[in-house]
Amino acid sequence: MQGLDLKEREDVGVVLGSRDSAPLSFWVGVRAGATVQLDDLIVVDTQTPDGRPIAYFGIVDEVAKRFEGQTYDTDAFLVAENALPAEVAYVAHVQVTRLEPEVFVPPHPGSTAAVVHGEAYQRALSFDTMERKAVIGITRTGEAVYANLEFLDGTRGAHASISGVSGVATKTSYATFLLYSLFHSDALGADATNSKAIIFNVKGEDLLWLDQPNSKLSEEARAQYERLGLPVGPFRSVRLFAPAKRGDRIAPDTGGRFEGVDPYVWSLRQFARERLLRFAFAGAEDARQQLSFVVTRVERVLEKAAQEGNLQDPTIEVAGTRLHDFQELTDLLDGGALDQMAPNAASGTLDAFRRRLHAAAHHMGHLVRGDEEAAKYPIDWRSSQVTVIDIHRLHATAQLFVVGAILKRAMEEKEAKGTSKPLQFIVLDELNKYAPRQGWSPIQETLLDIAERGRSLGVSLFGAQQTASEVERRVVSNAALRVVGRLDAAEAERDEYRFLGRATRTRATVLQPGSMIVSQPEIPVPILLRFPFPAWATRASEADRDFDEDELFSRMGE
Amino acid sequence: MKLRLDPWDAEYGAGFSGGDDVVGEETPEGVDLEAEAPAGEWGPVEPSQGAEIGEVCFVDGVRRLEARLSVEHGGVYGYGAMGSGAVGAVRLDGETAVFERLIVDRLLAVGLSELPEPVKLAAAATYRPIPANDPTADGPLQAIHNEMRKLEERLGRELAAAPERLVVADGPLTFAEPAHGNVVGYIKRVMRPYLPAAQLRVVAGLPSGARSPLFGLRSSQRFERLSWFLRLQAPRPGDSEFAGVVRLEVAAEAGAERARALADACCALLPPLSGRRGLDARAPQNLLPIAALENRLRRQMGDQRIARRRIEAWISREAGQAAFDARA
Repeated sequence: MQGLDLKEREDVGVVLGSRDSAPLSFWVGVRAGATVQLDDLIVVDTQTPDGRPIAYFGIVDEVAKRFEGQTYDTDAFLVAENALPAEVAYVAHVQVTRLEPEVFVPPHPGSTAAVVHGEAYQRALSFDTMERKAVIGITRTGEAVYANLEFLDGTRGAHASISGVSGVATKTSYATFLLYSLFHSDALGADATNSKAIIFNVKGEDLLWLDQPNSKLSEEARAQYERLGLPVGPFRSVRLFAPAKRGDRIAPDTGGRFEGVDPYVWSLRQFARERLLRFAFAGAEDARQQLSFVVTRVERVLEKAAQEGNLQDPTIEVAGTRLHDFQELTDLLDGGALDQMAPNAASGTLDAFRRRLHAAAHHMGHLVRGDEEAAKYPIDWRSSQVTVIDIHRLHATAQLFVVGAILKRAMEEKEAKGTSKPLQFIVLDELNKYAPRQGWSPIQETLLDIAERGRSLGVSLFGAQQTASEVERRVVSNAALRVVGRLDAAEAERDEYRFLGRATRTRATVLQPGSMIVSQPEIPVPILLRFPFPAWATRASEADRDFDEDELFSRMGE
Repeated sequence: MKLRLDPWDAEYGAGFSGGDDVVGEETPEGVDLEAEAPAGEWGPVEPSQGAEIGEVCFVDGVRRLEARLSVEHGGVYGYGAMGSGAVGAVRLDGETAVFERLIVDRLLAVGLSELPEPVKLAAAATYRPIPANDPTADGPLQAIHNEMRKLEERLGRELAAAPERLVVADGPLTFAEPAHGNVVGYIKRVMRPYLPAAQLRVVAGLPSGARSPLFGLRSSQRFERLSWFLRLQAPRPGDSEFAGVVRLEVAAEAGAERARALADACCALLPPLSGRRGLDARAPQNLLPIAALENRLRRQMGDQRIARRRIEAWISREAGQAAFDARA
């Protein structure tokens, strides 16, 4: 190929003729002394029969060695004992990623094959044709890997789906890295300033330190950031929210971090106005037809009540009773008030409603309050670029409520605005809990709405789950960027991972933390990449400010 | 009557045969039993040490007939043949076993006094014309065979030029290499026993890794040689008592002492390289490096069907052109 720097390519062998050579898939024989490994990018420059130059770019997805011409397995021992001469055949399978020009003739056996780096590498994966792109990782050989931004910002697609085994797959870390890359590079251009992200902190406290630099970051990781053109540091604009504790005073209920964390609650009026009662019934088993009808009726009554009286007053008056907290609402609905709100419902259904409301109130009731202060602690995600909402210490019922309430408001705000800009990113782990494949729930409906319409509204969901096979099909299938970390071997065989191909699927079962396989619409093969260790703290001991030596040592002992 | 098994695959003929000679008490003509030990004192030789050998090269060649032709020139008819041959070597230096000097030759043998031009049928396939002196149908085949033998001989000579190297040539020695005395002929199929009954009994009783005493061979067709029998592997129960016996020879010019040192060295060198029973039809005589080399050389010659097709295509074009010329 013309204009290719010679330093960027190394001749490694020739296209084989002993196996079929096809336009999209061929084998290369590696010459003695050369090395070709998985994920290497190969270019084959050749000519069509009528003399036009044609270049095949492809990625190596299989390599193998074998003693050639030997029939018996025990021949290997004889070769090792120098009794038998043997020739080693070293072959590599190339999955074609790009043809220049697009003339689909097979490459000629015997044509020279070269491993390429740098600019040629970028060309092989069509990164040079992406007008707007964001860096999403680095290969084992140090090449930057990009994603076409048009498939993340809604122009042509949106959403990322990240799957993998908990603890090893580093799913949330990767989702945060994606956000970091989007917000701290010039990928988004002018949109970067106004773009927002909501991150739900579902497990542990990893995400509660995004605003702190990582004091333990290695030089190697720093070099990787530099190589990717990213600054080394924490997220620049972060607000942290934690649920309010039970009790009179509104204070954040956090584990390790106290400073810089704002508590969040809903006022009763807000709860009523935004019709959030459904999310207290968000468990899939609660979503039966009859029950949801009663919920809708009650929501309707509450919404009316929220429009009456002083709109700044966190309390509301329903059926002649002023409600000061969620318990009072539960008590009110225990009585005849509920029968009046849903006069046609069977008494069994009403009892079921009451039973479930009591159960829910026990877990999430303290997040909906009527006291003076309540209205002062909403979650405001417009005041910072990244908003972390901690739910990890909440009961599952309360988690569903918070996620449901936030997602609903986020969608409604974007709908009201009517434009896709500024972009709204949402990071949610354990998606299988919120949008399960089996059953139906109001959150699932909201998530489906985001998956299907979010693209045009500028809402991009970075969903993570242990098993994509347990997440609502349409939520997964709408994701433009599909990412897997370490997969369970049985899970890897499921249809959801067909896009990986046979060879890559096997590799997904042995991926190390920090390695991901990414598939994106414009590149026909999934790419294995790594992402640098977080430049922001993921625990107290890494945060510069609260350096806790004792904690560090206790962790080292683990 | 004793019935014993010849371990070779039946398709390959006998591994050890008496030939047409009847083994008697008399020493056959041209055989000198006393080159190393007096005829009456023959017994197995089990050497503890042989000649110092730096590296060993096994030299071998393969050939095949691709087409038989009928040729006509100036009203005279004759036979012709086209075929390919390849020669090469395997070098064992204690560290590795590698193929070396693989050479392919394509030949067009013609049993007429006139020779055609060389014929190029592919980039790597030019057929070299050679005369076949024997005018019978198998004459051209013999000519190809002899040509390859010569090629093998030339390679053997070249490799033998290095003094520290032992060259093991497959088959009877066709050339004397007097300078260093480091070429050994390895005869895996023993066609003639050469020895009278008393000495042959010693061969039959050789243990694994042992050899017979040297004996001299003289004939009108070839130079004088010193030869010995070597047992590669002990026969299995039921095997013929000559199973696993090979004959080796070295040019007599090398001298008795050198011959003895080489013979002793071969006792240590060759048995570990024996072919494997069950995996090789001519085990154990077909040595591992030689079997591998033959396979490799066959591959080097290319696919026989393609060679045949190329020849057919070329000849039919020639014939078509000739017919066209005749009409014009």
